[in-house]
Amino acid sequence: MKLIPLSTSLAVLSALGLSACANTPRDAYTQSAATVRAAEAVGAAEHPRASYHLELAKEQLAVAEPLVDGSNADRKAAAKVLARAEADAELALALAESAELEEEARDVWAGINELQKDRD
Amino acid sequence: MTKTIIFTTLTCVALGCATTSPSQHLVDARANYAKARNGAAYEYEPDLVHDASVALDKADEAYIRSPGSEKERHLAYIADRKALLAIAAAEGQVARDDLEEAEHARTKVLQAQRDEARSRLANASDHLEDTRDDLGDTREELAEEREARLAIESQLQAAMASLSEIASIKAEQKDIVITLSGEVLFKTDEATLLPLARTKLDKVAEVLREQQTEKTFIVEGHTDARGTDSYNEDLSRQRALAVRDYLVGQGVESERIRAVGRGESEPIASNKTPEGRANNRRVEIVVHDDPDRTASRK
Repeated sequence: MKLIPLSTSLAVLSALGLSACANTPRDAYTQSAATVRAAEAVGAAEHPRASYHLELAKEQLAVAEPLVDGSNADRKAAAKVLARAEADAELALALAESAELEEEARDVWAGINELQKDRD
Repeated sequence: MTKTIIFTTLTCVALGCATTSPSQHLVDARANYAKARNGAAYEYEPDLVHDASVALDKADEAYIRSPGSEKERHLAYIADRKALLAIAAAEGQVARDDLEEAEHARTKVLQAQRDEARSRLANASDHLEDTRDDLGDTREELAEEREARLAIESQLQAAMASLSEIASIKAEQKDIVITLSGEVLFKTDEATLLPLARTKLDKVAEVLREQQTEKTFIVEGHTDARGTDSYNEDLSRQRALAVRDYLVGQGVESERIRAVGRGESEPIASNKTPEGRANNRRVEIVVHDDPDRTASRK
């Protein structure tokens, strides 16, 4: 899988109107859910560290969901939970991308070793 | 008075800080921020490190203002994740650089392999070309050799034809046998060449000199059956030697020609009639193709 840099991923999510500084808890929820999907798309569930933060993000999304359209107090609580969900989702995305790149690099180096063995 | 109250308040706050430990989130956030600030993240992801710094300041401020509060824990949680994000993003950049380096190295290895393969192919083509050239040369050499052999054979046939007027010529497998009548070469019971014999042997010498170097010659003396075996054998050897010596004197190489006396052992006609005996008295010159066979020929 060809990965794009994390800053680009986050910039794309931001350009889609999913800013980290979302105006309402609903916006924040949509933003965090998008980041969770992005993390899943790059295989966060396959890498232990990324998977841990992905699960935290999803749990926090589940906690926030019933609160985002509730009372002021609920929405205030939801905003905090969603801020943490977003932080974990972004971290899961970065960890997954990093792990994928490391694996890809390892594969290429292994391939080079094989090629050099063939030459010898 | 007012200053004293403010100082007392601040001191209490400070003392409160000192007595309430920071949350585990804040401890983690500080440690991970230090790691980000002092590691590759500072070089690769300075903006994310800055974000983590701002978040950590907010968490520290919350700790100072209300240590152990939910706000402190919340802001520390965010700060911790941002510090970890800076570290993870930097690890991603390091991995991306490593991947680029690996892909560059792979391209070089593949290019080297292609170059080697091309070089081997070029060498093989050159070798093939050389082999074709060599084959062409060999064919030319063979053709030249065949032409030369044909020319020599033709020359030999011409020479033999000139001899046929004075001698009998016949081919025996790979050998050619030139037979000269004893009557023409020697007087009865003598081994001295007659003057006429010398003229005939001059022609024979001329033919032998023209033979290829790998050919050798045996001069064989033969008698009829009159007289004893030992006498005939001795006479035939003396006559063969006389012919050999004369031919050597006419330029035939001495190491290529030898003399053998066969006596009466190999008649070619009946010894009961004068005509048959005349035929048996003879000198044969055997021209060999293979020098190794000379000794074993009977």
